[in-house]
Amino acid sequence: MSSPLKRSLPRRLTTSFAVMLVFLTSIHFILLANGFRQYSRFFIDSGNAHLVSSLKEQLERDASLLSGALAARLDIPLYHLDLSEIGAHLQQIRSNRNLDYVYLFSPDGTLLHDGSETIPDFNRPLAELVPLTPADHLQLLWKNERLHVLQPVDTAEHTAGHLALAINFASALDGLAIHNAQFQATASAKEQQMLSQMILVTLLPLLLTLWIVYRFSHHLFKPLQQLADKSRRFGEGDRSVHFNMAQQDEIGQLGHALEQMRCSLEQSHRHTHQLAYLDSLTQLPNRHWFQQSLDSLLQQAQQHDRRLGVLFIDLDHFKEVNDTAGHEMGDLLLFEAAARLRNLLLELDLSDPNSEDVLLARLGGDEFVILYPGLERGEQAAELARHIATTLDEPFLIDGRYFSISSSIGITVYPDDGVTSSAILKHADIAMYAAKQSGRNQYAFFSPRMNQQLQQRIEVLQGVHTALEQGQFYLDYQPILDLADGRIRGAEALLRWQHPERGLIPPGQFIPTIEDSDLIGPVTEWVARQAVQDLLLLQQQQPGFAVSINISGAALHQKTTRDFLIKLKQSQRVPDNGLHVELTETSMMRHLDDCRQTLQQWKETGINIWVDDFGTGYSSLSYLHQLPIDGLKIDRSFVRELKPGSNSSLVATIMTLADMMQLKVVTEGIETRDQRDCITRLGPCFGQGFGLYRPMSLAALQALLEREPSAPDDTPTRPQP
Amino acid sequence: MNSPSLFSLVFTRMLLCCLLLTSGHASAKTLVLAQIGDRPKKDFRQLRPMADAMVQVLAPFGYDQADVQIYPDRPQLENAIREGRVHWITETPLTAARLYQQQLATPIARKRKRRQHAYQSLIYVRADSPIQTLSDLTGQLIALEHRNSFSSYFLPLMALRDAGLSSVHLETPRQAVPADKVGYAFSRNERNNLLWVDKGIAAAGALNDGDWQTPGRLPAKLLQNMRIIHHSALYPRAFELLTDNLEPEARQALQQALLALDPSKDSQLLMQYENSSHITPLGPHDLQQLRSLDVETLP
Repeated sequence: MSSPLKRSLPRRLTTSFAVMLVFLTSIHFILLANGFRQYSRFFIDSGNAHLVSSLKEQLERDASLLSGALAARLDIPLYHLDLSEIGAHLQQIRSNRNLDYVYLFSPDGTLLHDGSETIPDFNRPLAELVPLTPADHLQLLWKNERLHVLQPVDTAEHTAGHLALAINFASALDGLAIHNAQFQATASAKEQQMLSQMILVTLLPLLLTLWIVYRFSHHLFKPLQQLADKSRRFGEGDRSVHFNMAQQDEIGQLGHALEQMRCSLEQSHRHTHQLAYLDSLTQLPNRHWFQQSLDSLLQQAQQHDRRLGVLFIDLDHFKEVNDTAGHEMGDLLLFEAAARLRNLLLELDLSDPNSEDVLLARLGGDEFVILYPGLERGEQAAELARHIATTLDEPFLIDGRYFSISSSIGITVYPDDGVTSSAILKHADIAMYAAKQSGRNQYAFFSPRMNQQLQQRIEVLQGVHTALEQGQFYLDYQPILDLADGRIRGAEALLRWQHPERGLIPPGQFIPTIEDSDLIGPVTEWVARQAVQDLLLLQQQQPGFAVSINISGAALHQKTTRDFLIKLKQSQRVPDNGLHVELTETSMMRHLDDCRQTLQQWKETGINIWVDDFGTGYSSLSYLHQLPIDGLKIDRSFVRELKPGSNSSLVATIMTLADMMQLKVVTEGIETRDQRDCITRLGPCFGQGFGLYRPMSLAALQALLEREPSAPDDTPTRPQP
Repeated sequence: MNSPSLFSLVFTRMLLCCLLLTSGHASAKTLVLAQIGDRPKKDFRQLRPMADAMVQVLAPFGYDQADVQIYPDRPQLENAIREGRVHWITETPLTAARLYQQQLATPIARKRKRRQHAYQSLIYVRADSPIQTLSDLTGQLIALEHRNSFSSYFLPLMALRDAGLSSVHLETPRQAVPADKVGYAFSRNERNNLLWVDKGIAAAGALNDGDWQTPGRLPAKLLQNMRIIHHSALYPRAFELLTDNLEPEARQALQQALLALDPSKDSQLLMQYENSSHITPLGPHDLQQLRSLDVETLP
């Protein structure tokens, strides 16, 4: 508290003013004191000089009188040259007055008498004894404190000699000096007294002035202090602060400027908040916001013993949209999906007056999440999930194009599926994956079992690279027969994973996972390379033998996969119609235009195109005509239905349709003799299934082909699988 | 306030004077003691007590008061005696001789002055002076005390005359001395006399032996540098003389009174009286000596 006050402007201003004032006053005082001292010194000195000169004048008069009187008394003795009387006079005056010397000189300037008994200096020249030269009048000379007097002694109007004497006035002058010193001391004391009084007299107005300056600057800087306080409050987060001041002066301008700054800061703050808490694309709360809301809602749910639902929504096939139509289109799709979800929530109006609103957030990519506070039953969440699925299942019309996506939704409920926000969200994610695994456009509640599946999925993803590098993958082949003659015309390559620790991993456990990941590309390429290699071997045994590989939807839409197959076909000089690709209806239908282009190129390269699992997916007959398809593989579900004597019209219809469109047909899943016979009766086609041959290793296939009677050459017209 | 008029003031004063004068003449006479001197104050002071003392003795003769008269020179003294204004003189042998020879006064007693009963004149020069005899003084200056001095005027000049030298008086010692004569100037006192010789102002000086011998009278330091070249004969120091202006009975009474002064009892009075110590009767040759002094030969 004390430090900001100490540095406050009024104090600093007052201090500066005080320092300046004290400085100036000090100089003023010094000059004044000095002037006064000089003035008093001058007057004392000049007074003293005047006194000295007056005293000297007086002394000179005294000396003149003395010498005159003495000279008057000496005229007769001098006339008589009565040295004894002269001596008596001189001695008398010497005893009375403080004389340095008293001499009587003869007119020729030699000493007649010095006042002593024996006159040892008799006849000494005047010049040696007296600093004056004889004249016919009185002469005076001051030397230090001595006054030298040379007085002519006249007798009968002529100079009979000269009387010289030196009076030592040291004591008189010393007395004056002492007097002067005392006067000086008195003056100094008076000076001190006067200065003290002046200091007192100046100090009071000085203090008063400083007080006024302090008060004035305090008043002047009060608005500034207010602004500073407001700034501090604003800095501490008080958003109610406004800086506009009533006054129009500089401080008012400062307030206005601060207000402007505050506005732009607020704006910037909002923007930052948006950046921090809002998803820029969809304007939905982002992960950060969601995380905070989840934390606070969990806390509330915990406190009020309530349930909280979390719906983790992932758009199916969104990646394909991004890959095929570009990220801009993907973003528009996400924007549209977000709008639909937002509208849905508005329409459903799930808000509960006792709890927080339902929160929709985008976590990133194609992941959305809905927080459902005040959930009472799990069914409520399921109902919402169904609404969402319905909403997103509607094709999206974007930029003149339709996009069909669906959604997979994972649902967790607090406290059943976790009590921490991380657990709740993670489990929702897992549930979403589980839903996706179980076929898209699904929702799933979390169950602990899903954790295990997820673990497997992670192991798969982590193990695929190792498998590729260490050759843990291998291909099994399931022969495809021409049902008319029972000969093996080709085989479908099936990916197998021989894990060094877990043994042979069932394809169902890793293939869907790979298909959903970025690993689909490398794995597809490995399969294609291996299959081609094997195909070339098999064709040596049986020319015209065909090997088919499965291309997943994700791989189909990757340009790299497309180009890889073409290059492989050409570089390995694979004979035309030797390599077949099998694609599901769904994967083809999703991005029809891109797909058509890819298939066209493959077709032109000499690769055969087959539709796998025909009859199960979302399909339209029209595409069969539009796409360069070589044949259809009728899904095993149709074959399973075939029983002796039953209506086989569906398979027959397909076969008729294929025949009309000049498409070959492979019937999958033939497990019994009856099924084979039944199909055989329906017309010429190929067959595949456990009832014919189980998938086998390349060596086994080669051995099988070895045992088969050599192929008759009379079947050139028969279509090859 | 009424101021007294000038007339009344003058009148009153005149009346007062007349009364005083008339009463003096009628009942009292003044005893006058005289001397030649140039320092009246000193001489007056030295003579007054004795005069006052002796007037008591003469009271029976009508003298009720004493007076001291100092005359600057002998002629004035002589005139005063002739006019009857002087009764008693105390003087040196020279003046005594003159007055006695002119019969103006008669010596009645010798005065032992400055502890000297008799004295003589000394002529001296500086010890380093080339002057050895009086004849060496030709063309030189000799310092004499004053014209009335017996020992330092009369006797030295007598000595010079006796040595065949002629002397000339100089107003000041600075005056040039004629080459064939001995110049003399007056130093006025013994101390100055000695100083003149010491400082070379005069080649020789003349003093009496009393001055020379009495310690403290002259600076011993200077005396040491002096050499005496002439001693005169001894003469009485001073004489008491009485004039005929005093009645014979009174003269007798005064003479007796003076001679009766006891050196021990009246020492203070004697001491005041020109430093005297005793007043004695005249010696057998005193009057003869006075009569033989050739006072007229002096310039």
